[in-house]
Amino acid sequence: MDLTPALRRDVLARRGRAWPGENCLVGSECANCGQRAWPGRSICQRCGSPDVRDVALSQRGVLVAQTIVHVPLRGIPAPYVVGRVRLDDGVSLFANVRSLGKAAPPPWPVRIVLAGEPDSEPAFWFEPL
Amino acid sequence: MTDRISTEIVGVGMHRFGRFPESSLKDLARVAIVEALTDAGLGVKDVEAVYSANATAGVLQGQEQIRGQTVLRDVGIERVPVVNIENACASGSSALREAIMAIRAGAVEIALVVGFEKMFVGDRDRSLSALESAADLDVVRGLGLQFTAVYAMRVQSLLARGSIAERHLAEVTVKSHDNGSRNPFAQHTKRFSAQEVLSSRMIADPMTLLMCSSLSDGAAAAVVARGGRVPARVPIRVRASSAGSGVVRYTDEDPTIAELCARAAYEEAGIGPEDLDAVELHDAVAPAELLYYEQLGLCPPGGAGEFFDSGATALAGRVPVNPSGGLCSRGHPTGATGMAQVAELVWQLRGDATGRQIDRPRLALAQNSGGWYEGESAACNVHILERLPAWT
Repeated sequence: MDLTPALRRDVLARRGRAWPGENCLVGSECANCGQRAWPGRSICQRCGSPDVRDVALSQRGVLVAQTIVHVPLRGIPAPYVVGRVRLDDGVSLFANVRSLGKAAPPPWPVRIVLAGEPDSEPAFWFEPL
Repeated sequence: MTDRISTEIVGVGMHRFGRFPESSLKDLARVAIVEALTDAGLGVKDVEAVYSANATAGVLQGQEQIRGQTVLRDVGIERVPVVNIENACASGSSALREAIMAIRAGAVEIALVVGFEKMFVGDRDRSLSALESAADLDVVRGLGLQFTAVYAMRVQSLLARGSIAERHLAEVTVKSHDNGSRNPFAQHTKRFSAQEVLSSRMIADPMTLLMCSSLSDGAAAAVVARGGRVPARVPIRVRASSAGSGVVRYTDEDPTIAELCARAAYEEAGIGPEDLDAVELHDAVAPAELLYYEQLGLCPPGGAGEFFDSGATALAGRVPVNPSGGLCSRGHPTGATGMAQVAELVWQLRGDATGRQIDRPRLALAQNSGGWYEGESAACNVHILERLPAWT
């Protein structure tokens, strides 16, 4: 398999991890096997093909697990919620979850929200639908 | 298998895990190294190669490079090759595997493996930041993704699937602290009731303080040798060494890297999980023990709670799990943990585990995992050890 297309991929700094205008994260999609990935890959981890392109990941998904963290970290006041989300296109990722009422045990439908400021941490989080 | 060079663990040693403000990395590693060499009946000049494990000294002590050499020179080890290994919480077992591979390749006959870590630096935020880098910071920076949160979510999933009930979280933690209370190398040696476990401070629900491993200082070491090269009172042979890195799980039913490594280890050893007599597994939070019962094949999928209730994994059970107290009670100085598991199993297999000795084990498994992807560990190693002489 010719891997050289991976050499021509633009640097991450120009591609970014999110497209704020479209309110979505940027992952990758493999033209060979169709697999999507977060974070985006330069070569597909499923089939090894370099025929991948950046793609807008699903804005919606399901919160499959979540925990309320009670220990503050520098810059992150506690309590806060961390969850694992399975997006509608199958991609799994960790994120903060906000506006989650107490009566919301997973699984729970959620949607992504991107931070307004470009260098915010976190850059995105999920809220219940 | 028959033409492979056999590998034995001929000596082990530890510096007790805990909080040691006056001890530097050199002080911690020195004790583990000298104990292991003494146990093997060897001197420092017998060592032909060193595999050195540490996870966080770059961030916490500023010793980003040549960490192994800096502690080894203190004990007079120089000139021989030193390989520095960082693989998050799986650093120790990753170093062990490299030593085993070097011996199997015929390149080395006597290797030293040492894991050391000093996490108490007087600044808890800095220690937690160091641990946060066990993930791909490119995508998790700023989330506050602490390892207790990652394990809390895994355990939540086990609860949601009905494998375990809420009460198991406290009961397995009580077992962990009971075992730790018998281990002179353990950081936490106090016993607790289920009620005390549940009423301790919440860290990441449902994980309370007493369910979680904590910051720790410590070191552990082993001498690994070509079979027969070093006369041992009770030879302990390496039956399997299996390693892997994280995989994307396309569904939550896909096997984890721990499952894949365990299967490979059983195949290499030519045994099944039912043949094991002891297990040290990676309980970064005590309830993770329940998770790994299933992933290591000790019980059927969905059977973790029932398996725990059977008493099989208690100190007097059929296959005692974490007789040392595990990460939660023995302590979890990240880079040292994998080698502490091995030290414990060697002591158990030889009959040297005073105060917590299990009944005549022959086959024992160590599982050490580290770091994380999106819901999966980033590194895992599984080793299977065998006591060669029959028990009398």
